[in-house]
Amino acid sequence: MLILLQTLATGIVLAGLYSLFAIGLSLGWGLLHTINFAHFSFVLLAAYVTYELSTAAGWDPVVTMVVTAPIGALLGLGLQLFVTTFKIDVFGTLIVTFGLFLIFEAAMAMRWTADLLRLPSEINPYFTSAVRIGPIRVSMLLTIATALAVLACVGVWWLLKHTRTGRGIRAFVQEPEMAAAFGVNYPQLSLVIAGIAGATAGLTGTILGMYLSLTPTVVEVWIAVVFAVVLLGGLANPIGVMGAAFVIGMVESFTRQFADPAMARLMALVVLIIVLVFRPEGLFKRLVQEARE
Amino acid sequence: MLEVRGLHAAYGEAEVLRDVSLTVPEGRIVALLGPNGAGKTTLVKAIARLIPITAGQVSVGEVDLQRLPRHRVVEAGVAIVPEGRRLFTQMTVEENLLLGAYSHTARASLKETLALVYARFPRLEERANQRAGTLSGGEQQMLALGRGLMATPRFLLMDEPSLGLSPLLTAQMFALIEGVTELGVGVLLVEQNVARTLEIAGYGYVLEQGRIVQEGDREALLGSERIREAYLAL
Ligand SMILES: Nc1ncnc2c1ncn2[C@@H]1O[C@H](COP(=O)(O)OP(=O)(O)OP(=O)(O)O)[C@@H](O)[C@H]1O
Ligand SMILES: [Mg+2]
Repeated sequence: MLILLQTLATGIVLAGLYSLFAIGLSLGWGLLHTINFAHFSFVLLAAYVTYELSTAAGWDPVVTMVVTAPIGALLGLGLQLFVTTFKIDVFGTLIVTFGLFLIFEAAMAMRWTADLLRLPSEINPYFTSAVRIGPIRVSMLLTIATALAVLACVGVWWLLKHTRTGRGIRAFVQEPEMAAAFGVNYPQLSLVIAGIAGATAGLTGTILGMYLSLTPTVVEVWIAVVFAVVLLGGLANPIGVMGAAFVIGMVESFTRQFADPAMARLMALVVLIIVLVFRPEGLFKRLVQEARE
Repeated sequence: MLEVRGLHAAYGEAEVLRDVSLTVPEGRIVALLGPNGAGKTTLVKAIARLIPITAGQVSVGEVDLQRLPRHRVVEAGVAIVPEGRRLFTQMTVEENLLLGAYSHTARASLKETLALVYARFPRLEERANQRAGTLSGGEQQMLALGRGLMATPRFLLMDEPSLGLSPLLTAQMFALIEGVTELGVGVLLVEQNVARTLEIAGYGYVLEQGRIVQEGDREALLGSERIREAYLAL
């Protein structure tokens, strides 16, 4: 019984990390028509920034978020300005951002070399300490990630559902011409979304900087599982992202505990494929569907 | 005064509007008649800056609409009730209305305008939280008109608002359009229902193959051979 609860708790915080990682990607794809492969680069860059500020400048790694979130936001804004200026379509953004991803990877390999960089545990107590709920223990770091994820997802949901900005964006995604005719300034609103998406990449990077041994290719193993969450969650649906991350996190946690830990990530993808065969639109619906002419 | 002068518009190579000029005064209904494919919808879209024009000018008072970014045309006082309604179908009725008042100018008086629209369309208030896409055709057309009014326009461009409505609803719709002018709003009304339209419009233009071929006040149009034969089937 205890082990079941423990596995459940681990699944929940894994889900937190995955939804924090996926929410920005989902927003960009669903609302801005940008499949931002460079999201992974933004995350890794932020992770290195956290590493540098904590080791060289002696910051508490959690506090580095005040730097990594704005860096992520600026990168998101820059990319969105580029995409709007050159009117790049969805497929085009995938190619462009994949190119960006490769450039970032090369640049980071030059700056930080291929050596493993790990925050020493004395400056990163979050990694080793745990939150106890009765007999259950969960990683302090992943608990922080989960709190951030809930904040980000619920915040974005509220923005989209209950604010004028959110209404404008949803209207534009459905009926761009009519939204513009009633005053929606999409280029401006798209920057809000791109900035938020980028900021979540920065936050994710700080968490990963504390969680992993960094190499310039370390994010690659996360690509599949994060895209799985994005696809299952329904594009730009923050609640869906949380739901999908929950499913994937649980599958992973239970596989790790009760079957083969090496299979854990793979099982998440098996779930993705099975779900997409039966429900191509994912487990959850897109927040807004485009009007089909 | 909404003024269109010497307007030309094209889709690619094909010129669809040629040297179109017309005027809509505040508080009046001006009819825009013409056969299918004449370019009426294109003209409406060109005025609202939804498609580019190749020559000419569109102005509201002193303001040249061509100089405004697309999303600011509504602030200059021009709102649209488009052909085929084009609602935000996945949003609720109320969200559609709120979106109608998205602009800075309309937002200032949002509460009063919403109350006014609900007073005119009690049906929409009953269904405030229903998704727009699930409304009946007639209700959707009312919502499209309500959304247009929410922008507190000085001029409303209405493209075939009675399309697909039953005779009873059509009569209601025309009464509502007449009601709009009591708010001081000028209406450019594109309609197939010429007989009805000429009951409420004081002035009208006939567009054929992209040109204005005839214009005049109600009596002149009703008396014209062309109108009687082609549009009234008399
Ligand atoms: N997006 C477009 N691309 C190319 N040609 C178009 C486009 N939209 C309209 N046209 C053409 O422009 C001409 C005018 O079309 P428009 O829709 O303005 O006519 P209309 O007077 O509104 O007709 P109806 O009464 O049927 O609504 C038509 O020949 C049409 O085929
Ligand atoms: Mg038309």
